[in-house]
Amino acid sequence: MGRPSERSVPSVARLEDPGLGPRRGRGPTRTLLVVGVALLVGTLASLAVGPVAIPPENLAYLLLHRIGLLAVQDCPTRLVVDGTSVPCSIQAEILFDSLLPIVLLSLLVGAALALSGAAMQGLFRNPLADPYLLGISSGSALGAALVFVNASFLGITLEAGQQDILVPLLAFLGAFAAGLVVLVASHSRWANAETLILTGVALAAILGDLMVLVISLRPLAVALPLTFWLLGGFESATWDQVGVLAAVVVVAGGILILHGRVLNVLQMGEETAAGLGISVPSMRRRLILLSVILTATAVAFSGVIGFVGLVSPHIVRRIQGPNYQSLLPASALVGALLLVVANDVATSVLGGGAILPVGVVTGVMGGPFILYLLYRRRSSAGSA
Amino acid sequence: MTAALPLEAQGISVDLGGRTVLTGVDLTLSDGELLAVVGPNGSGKTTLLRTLLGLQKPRTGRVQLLGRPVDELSPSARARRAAWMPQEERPSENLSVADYVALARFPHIGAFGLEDESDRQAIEGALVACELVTFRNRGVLDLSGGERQRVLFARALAQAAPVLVLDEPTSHLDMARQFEVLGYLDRFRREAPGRAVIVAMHDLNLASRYANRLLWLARGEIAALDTPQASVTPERIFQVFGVETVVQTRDGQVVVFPPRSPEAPPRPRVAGLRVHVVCGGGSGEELLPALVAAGHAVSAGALNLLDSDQALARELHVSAAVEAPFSALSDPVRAENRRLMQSADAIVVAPLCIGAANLANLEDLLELDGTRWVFVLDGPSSVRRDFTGGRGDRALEELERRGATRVKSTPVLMKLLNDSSRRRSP
Repeated sequence: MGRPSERSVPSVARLEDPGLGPRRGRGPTRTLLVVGVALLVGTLASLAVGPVAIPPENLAYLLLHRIGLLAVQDCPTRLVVDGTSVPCSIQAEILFDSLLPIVLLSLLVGAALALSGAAMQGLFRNPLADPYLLGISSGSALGAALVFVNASFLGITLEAGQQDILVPLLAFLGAFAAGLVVLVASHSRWANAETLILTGVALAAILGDLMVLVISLRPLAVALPLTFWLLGGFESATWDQVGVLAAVVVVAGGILILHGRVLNVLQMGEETAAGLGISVPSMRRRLILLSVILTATAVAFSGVIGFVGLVSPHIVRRIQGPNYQSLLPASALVGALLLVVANDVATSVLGGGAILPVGVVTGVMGGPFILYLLYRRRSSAGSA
Repeated sequence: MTAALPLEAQGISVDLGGRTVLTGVDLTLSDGELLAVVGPNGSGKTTLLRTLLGLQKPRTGRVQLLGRPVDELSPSARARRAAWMPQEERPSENLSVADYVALARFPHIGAFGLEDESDRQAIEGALVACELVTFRNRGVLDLSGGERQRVLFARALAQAAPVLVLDEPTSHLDMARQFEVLGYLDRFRREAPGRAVIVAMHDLNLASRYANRLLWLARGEIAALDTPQASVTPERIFQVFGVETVVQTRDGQVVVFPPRSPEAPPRPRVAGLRVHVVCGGGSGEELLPALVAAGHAVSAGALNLLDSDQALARELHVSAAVEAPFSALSDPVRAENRRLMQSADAIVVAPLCIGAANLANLEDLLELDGTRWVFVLDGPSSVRRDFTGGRGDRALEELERRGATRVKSTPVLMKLLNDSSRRRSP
């Protein structure tokens, strides 16, 4: 077939004309680099916004001083808020006990959700899949609700510390239990992408109604903190949370990123994937497990933050194409960037120290964005 | 120890959804063989191929791939031994052609390995072989059906497995690409020892041309497993496909084509004549419909299959003596044509090109006894051509000498025929 033929003449001409045919996007390395730099800039910038705007030079000093690169003992610029001077030690406290954990946690949650979303979209071959596809959000909500409700039911006033531990713990367990149900279901001989998605949908409905049941047992006032928790936020971020989530993102997310080639093969359908030597059911279970661990941990610390996991992989597809080997790491970076920015918006948009739930911001930003993506995609090249 | 056979299957029976799809299939692919699986839709071709690859678990029976039981091989070891090209694939992401073909290296690289030089060579080689080099950056979802099928074929090649299993690899391809794919498979199996190809096909002519043996599947059972020459018979085709065909062998190549349209619907005879038309190459395209419309019982011949007049005759339910494509008229077809001419009231020689292949029509016409009208229809002066060094023209002159009427145009001919048919009917 390699012989020259008349047919090959026009295609050679096409080779010389790079303007013909759809562009397949930028190289994956460049994409990663650009998004990585954007994330770094975004992260640093977000330290400078917020209720107490620490001047950039002070930020630089405090960071360098903390890691021991700077021996000087005082901030370079005086910070005055409402006519009162804020001492350098207080600025350090604000930065290290509040700002930095918040920004880092939002970054990690974004990365975890985006990775999970990309994996779910690839695994279920469905562009509308997201990290909460398998009923994980409802599971975590039920877990959190049990803490809030049970506390008031038993007349216990939870200490702040107790609540900070119990809510994430039960949220994680609820989310993980929901994921486990889907994992167990995937052992069935009837399991395929469609049945598993429907299992997740049914599970979400059941758990959602259970949560309503749990709440309705108690006065309505209980529902308010739960609602705020569900909408998501990072105000209560701690270094412990950052540490746990960082470990999960590095380990589970790292393993997931290594499965880029597997996800590529799965895009051709289970038949071909099997033909190429992938054991589809066991690979599916592995990817679901990794994804559930990432999502459940993220949800435990941040509440249910929508759209990031759905939108981030689509943004990356538009930039560099659908190759999962680079789609996964790039999605993690984009997801991290999106949540850092969303958190900045949430903390600064209302002014006067009032903070909007981050889930509201991502919803308001993400909803229109996904519509834009959908309709732009339809109008270009017909790849539906 | 002798080298293991590429593929061996014994007593394969498969149930799908409670229905038995395959029963007791035995087959052996020998070194360098190209085996074509033929059978109607639903006869179990795809299920057989999937079972041979270990993608479908059989109820009974066992499959050995290069000497190892297929169910004992790991998925990737199996994929290094046999490459699978499914009939169709619906990728859910718009991967580039190059990325798509590169996936074939999965069984070699594994989930976490890095591509090395041999992988890149296999991918490039497959892209070149399938003339996809300039398509490398196109999205697979943006390709036509035929282009996508070539991508699937390239991927099967890039897998670099000694055994190729292909499910209707040419169904979306134009004729040139079909020949290329099958020609490639033909070279592939000869190039190195230990190779073999098994391919499901619908086209019996192509299957007979390229395959060493044909495996005939009917309702999940092997109806025959033999060389094309020995197994392609009208009886076998009727047994397996339930359709009447004409089978001929030319230079060792088996040719299958449909018989003369068997059930011409009874046409109301409006006092018409039985008119036989000697045409071909489009020379009857005006005449045949006009005659049919005027209510004459029309026959035609002898025509070659795939000739435009043959297609027209078939469409009009005009009975015709039909020969294999692009072949000289054989004795049985000539006899058939003579029979049609003998039973006609009038015979019209259309303004056709006369060549060695159809000169026999005129010779047979000259040998008929002279009890029927014969018309020689002139087309535009440039149309009738004689490519037989004068023999054709001499035959036409001889016809005229014996009383054939030369007619200038179709309307004139129609008028003559209609008048005579009116005169005949009381």
